[in-house]
Amino acid sequence: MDQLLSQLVLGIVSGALLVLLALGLNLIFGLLEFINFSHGALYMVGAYLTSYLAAATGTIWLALLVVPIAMALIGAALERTVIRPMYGRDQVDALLLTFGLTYILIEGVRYIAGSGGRRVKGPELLAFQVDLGLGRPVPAYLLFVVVAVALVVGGLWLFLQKTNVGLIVRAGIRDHIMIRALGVRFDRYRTLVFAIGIAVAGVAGVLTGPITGVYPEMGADILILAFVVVVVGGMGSFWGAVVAGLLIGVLVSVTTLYASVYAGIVPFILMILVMTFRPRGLLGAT
Amino acid sequence: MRAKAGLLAGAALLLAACGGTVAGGGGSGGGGGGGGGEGSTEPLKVGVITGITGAYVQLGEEQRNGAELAVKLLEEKAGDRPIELIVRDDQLKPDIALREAQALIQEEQVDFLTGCVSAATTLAVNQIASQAGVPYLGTCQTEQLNRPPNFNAEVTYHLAPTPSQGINSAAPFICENLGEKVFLLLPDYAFGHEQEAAYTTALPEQTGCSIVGKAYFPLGTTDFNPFVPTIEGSGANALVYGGVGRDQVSFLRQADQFGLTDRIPTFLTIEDLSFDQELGFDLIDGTYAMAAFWWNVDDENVQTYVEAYREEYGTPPGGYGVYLYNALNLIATAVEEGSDTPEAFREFMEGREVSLGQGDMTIRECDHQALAPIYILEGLAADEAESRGGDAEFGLREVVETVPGSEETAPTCDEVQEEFQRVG
Repeated sequence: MDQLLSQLVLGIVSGALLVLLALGLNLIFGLLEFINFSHGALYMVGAYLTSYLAAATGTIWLALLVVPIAMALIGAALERTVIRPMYGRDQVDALLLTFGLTYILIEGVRYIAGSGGRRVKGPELLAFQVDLGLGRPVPAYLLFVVVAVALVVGGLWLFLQKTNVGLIVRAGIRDHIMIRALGVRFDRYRTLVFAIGIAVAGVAGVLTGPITGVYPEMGADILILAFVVVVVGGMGSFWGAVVAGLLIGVLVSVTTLYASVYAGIVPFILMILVMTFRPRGLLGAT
Repeated sequence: MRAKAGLLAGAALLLAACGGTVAGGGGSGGGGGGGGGEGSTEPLKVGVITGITGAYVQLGEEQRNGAELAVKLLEEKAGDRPIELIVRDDQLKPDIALREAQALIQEEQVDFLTGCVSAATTLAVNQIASQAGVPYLGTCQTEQLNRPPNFNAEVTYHLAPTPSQGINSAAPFICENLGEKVFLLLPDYAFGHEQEAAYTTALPEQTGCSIVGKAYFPLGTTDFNPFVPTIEGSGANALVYGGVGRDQVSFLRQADQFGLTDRIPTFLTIEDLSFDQELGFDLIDGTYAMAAFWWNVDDENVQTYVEAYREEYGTPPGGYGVYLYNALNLIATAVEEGSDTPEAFREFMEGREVSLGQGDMTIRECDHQALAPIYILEGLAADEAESRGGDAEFGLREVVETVPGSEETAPTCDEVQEEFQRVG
């Protein structure tokens, strides 16, 4: 039983990082109706920025503040330049554009930092283990990741629910033509939402660094799962992404305990089941 | 029109993603090759196919470096024939390896093929080499290359150790020094399954030693945290980890956060200096590994290679470049001695005893398998690097045991012959 509980806790850690990526994808898709294939590559860029900042300062704390801001600026600049001309065009165009962007980012990072990975040292402050009464202690850093993700998710939800900007964003997700008709400068909100989505991916990049290290292809590995989370949770659903991310993290973790060889396919089985029996996703709108 | 343009652009991008090749590396196309004969001054064309992009990029780059260094040290000549090296990227994909091998044979008309960092691609290249009758020197760890139905005595040679050679060499060390209750954490592809078969045979042969649990992880796993409770719950007092490259880096990083490698001595089936450097002293300290090459081995020929590599590339070589360095040296010596046809090359290679970048090595006659030493390496802490590792920056490990290459750690030639006869 202790072992199962340990797997549950570790599954929540794995799922938490997926939640961050899926939320950014979902938010961008919801308002911009734009599938951002470069989300994983931008997450990777955030992780690399973290690796350099952490190497310079000896800790990730500064990166946790600076990288999301830097990624938001990069996101805003991308939206204003290459993303904006894609609005209203075929989804295939957006996919191709962001697919190409992914390649440019990965090869760019390879050119600058080399093909090998870089290390990111976790914070000394959290270099201990916590006994949760599960028989085996859990590294404090992993618990910090869960808390940090919870804070970002909570903050994002409050921003969307309690601020005027959030109100307009939510209204825009529902009907952006009406929002424009009311005189709202909708383009600014698109830029803002894209920037926020990329900043959240940046946070995921910062938090991932000390767990896996950083390497050029890291975004591609996790992006597929993030898309699965979005589909399972429901396209455009905030809490759908949260629930599906945690669910997939836990399912993979528990399957690892009993049949490790099948753990990798569990998310895809879940996706097929959801697409077959509940195509709008677990918490998606009808 | 726009949609069509988009589709075309998409096709181009997809092709770039899936099928493109990276390293052209010389080659004028057509002409030449095909065995120059003694006294010929035709260029000696050697095709290298390895993974220059993909998960094992450092290993592929090392192989390219090893080949290029050998050619440079040979002053780009094998006897009177100028050596022309043509390097191609297989992206670790068998279909691309197949295509590149065909292109090298048909368009470039190479005289020899070598290289590989993945078992899947080596079999693809060997298949094409067999059909064309071009000698192929495989350089990655697999049991399958020189076994039926893949082995072709006319063309196939295997310069890297098989997984079972390494594992048979390491099993006594694991059971005597690390622990007798072993957990196997292995990658879920051919190389991992070959390891399982070898460990399952070799470990129980050691007195009191047993395998108490095993788990597989998919290639490219980044999240190893869920495996930690499984390993600890098994009651194991030694852990064997069989992953390579990025997987290994992710695993050791996460295992360290749990303190797993402090509690359970950990042994790595595959080691490479490039991964050790990325992990750093703090993560490899106290881990053990086996390798067919280590840069600090006290051997004159090993050090000749290491010093030349260091001068050329600024760092000591990792474990994979040496196979290509050896391959190019063997090919050049054979051609210099006039053994430049597949038949003469076979005669040259079979039973050859030579000392190259790995030290003393024998290419045995029955399956063309190289028998070279296997080293057991201990990971060091930063403050031990200079005194025990021999270098403050690169002395990440120390050789704690050397197992000479011999038939005792590989299937005997009799066993190999039986297998060939059984399969027919």
